[in-house]
Amino acid sequence: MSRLASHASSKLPKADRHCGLTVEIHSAQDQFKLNVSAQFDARRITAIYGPTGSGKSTLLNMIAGFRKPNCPSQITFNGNQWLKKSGAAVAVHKRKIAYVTQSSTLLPHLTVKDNFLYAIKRAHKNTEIATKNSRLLTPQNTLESIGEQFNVSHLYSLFPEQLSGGEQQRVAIGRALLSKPDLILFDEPVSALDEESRESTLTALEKLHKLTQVPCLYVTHNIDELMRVADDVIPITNGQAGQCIAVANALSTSASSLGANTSGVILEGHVASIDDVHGLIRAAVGTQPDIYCSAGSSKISRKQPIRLRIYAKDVSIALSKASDSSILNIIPATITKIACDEKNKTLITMQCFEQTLLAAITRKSLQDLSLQEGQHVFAQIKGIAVLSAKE
Amino acid sequence: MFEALSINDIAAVWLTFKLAMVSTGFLMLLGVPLAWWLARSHHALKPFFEALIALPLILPPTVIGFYLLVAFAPNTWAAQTWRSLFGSNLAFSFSGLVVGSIIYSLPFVVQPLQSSYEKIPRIILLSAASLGASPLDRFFSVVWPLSRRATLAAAALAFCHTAGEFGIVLMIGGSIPGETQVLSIVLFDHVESLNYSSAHTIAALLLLFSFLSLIVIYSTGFRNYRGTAKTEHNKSIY
Repeated sequence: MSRLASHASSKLPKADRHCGLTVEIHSAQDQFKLNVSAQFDARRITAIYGPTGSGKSTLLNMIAGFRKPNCPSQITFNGNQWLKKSGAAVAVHKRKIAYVTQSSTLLPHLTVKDNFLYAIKRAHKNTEIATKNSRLLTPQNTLESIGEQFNVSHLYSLFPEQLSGGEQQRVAIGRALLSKPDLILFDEPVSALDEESRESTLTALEKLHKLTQVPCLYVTHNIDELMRVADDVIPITNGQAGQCIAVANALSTSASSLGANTSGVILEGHVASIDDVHGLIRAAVGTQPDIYCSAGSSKISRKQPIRLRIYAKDVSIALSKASDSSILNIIPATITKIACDEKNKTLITMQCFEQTLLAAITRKSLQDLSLQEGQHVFAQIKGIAVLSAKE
Repeated sequence: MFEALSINDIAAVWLTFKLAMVSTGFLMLLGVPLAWWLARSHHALKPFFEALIALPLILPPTVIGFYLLVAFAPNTWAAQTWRSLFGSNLAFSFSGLVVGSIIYSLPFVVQPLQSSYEKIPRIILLSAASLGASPLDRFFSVVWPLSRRATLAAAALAFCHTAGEFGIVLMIGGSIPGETQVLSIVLFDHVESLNYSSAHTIAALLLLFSFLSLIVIYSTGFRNYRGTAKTEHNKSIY
């Protein structure tokens, strides 16, 4: 069963006063209103997702303590009141956070190594809860190992200005880790990078989370980034935030809260074989050994776990298996649910190879094929995106 | 044309140096926090303070000197407080000159520092804070190294500007040898007594000193905040 689907089925833990982040923020500035009431689960990557100007960065800055909401608000993290309704706030340097943004936050007058040492020297003393939750205090988190893991040891003697964008971000993420934070805030950390640097930075980020399990908030407007890195998501539009839900849940409804045409599923599997001649990967997901997807530019090796995204709009349904189709992935499936919305769009939920698959079809097709719940059909998958090829 | 310096002239050189050193010391102590506050503040009174500090740039020094002279009069509140604290008069004293110099040279310290502090991206200070650096720690570990050149330039400007002041000293100093008779006053006295060869020596001395100081200030390239370490590093790589 896919990782995200498993989160979808298990309910989010109830508001635990001592674990996680609770935010209730109200702010109004220059006709822009921000109203957020949300709980973020500890230990996971929660995306704050919305279009430009929706207030997601403002929200992150307020959680960090860089800005203060101008209406009574409160922020509580692991039982500590960072911000009280009275306006009393814990200072930024006492919040035990790390912050990585799209522009460089490295100290320009220090070399990469000295930037690391700066963080080590001031490293936060973890709270009991955070230590229990994370593996921050492992001996791997030393200067040398961070340098190697994020592939920056060869840059130690350089100044931030001399690094490429991707290198700067990897150093920033490594430095964030060395400061032993209880919470890491990412504000569009890869949006200013080219594709290659984006890839290396996201890999570093995933590595960081895997190593430490520090809870992360990740602000982004990019749906692919969101689906790649996040476990949970808080959609935000015009300063109004929705509830924190698992990404898989957010995707699996016809009116996906993440925007039009984003309904779909995320599957986790591994690489069964690589077809270099056709530039294809044969992926094994669940009991299904044959899902073909385009290898793209990322380096992929056999047996490697991968995460696949299939949009509902890229899945169509046939009653018989076409042998004369250009579509590579035609998979037998069983319809488990048929949902129609007002716009004559129909979202079909299917079970195949012990996984859930969604297909968006028109109401006319539904009637013409007279589809029923429980019926055996063939799902034709036109597009699959390989979201991550992590080790 | 030039005449060797008399003993009196040499005393004035030393006094000028002493006045510039002491004033610069106080100016840096006062100017750094003031410039930092101005660079970060959004206070409604900020323009008021900025204008007040910049006044000596445009006011005739004699105007400042005149008001200081009035304020230093023995029966005023300022002079009496000073007397009860230090047991001396402000008017016609070295201490009075130091007070005058601080007011006179303050914009030369505050303005370069303020503009240097304003150039430091806020995000860099915030991320230093998130790494656990307290406000004071941030100042000394981030702001200070990033504005080192501006600080040097500010100190050098304060020193030179104080060494060259005339109008205020004329009003509140009173040309007492060894106490308030600085070089610019000695020069004025020489010209008044038509002793042009001595005047030439002192004028040339001040001109040379000012010119060399400015060359030093400009060669530090205080406009960039990157240190020499970086430049040398670049050379070794490329």
